[in-house]
Amino acid sequence: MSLYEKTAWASLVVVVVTAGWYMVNVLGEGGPDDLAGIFAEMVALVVVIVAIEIIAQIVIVVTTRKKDKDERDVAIEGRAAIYGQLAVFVGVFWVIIQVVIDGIWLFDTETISRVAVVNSLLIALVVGEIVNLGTQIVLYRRTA
Amino acid sequence: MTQTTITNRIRDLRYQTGEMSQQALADAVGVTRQTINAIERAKYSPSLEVAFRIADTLGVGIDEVFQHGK
Repeated sequence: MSLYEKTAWASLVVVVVTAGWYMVNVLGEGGPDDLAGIFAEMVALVVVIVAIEIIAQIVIVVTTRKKDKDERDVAIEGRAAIYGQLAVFVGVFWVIIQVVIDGIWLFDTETISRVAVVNSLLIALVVGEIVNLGTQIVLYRRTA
Repeated sequence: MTQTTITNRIRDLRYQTGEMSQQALADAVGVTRQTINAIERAKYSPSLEVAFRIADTLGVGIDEVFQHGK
């Protein structure tokens, strides 16, 4: 397994575990219901993800022989990024549609809350990252 | 990254060149062992530059390494 495939696996595990924790503990029952509280949890989540990723990256680099990115790594990374960006685009577009339908077409006085919009966008980013990393792993496995 | 119609004789040529390992070839060409393995198994088509470097390292012409299956 190459360095970059290991990195993709580690990142995928980190994103799934931390995002899962966020969904259960912050968006679930008993989580903060104000934007400031959710934002604080979101910042904590990002700090934890970055810290774990740095530690995982150090461990992988130290234990892997070949460290240079070659053309196959670049090709896989490029194709996976396209799918990841497509997922983010679909998610963001879906949020926009929801806000427009809820706020304008239904003439609803109480539109979708900012908290819901922020969390929907966060979910779109997380799903985009999972699609990106998942695609990398599939392409690495398929060409292994 | 899809299955290609390009076949190759890298495995045979490695063994004819003093049983060169995939890792040794990868180091000489400047790619990872996994990439050499993927090329060898026709699961990844290399760039022209890498294809020429593989041929040079194996001491043969590029047409002796890669063939296009029509």
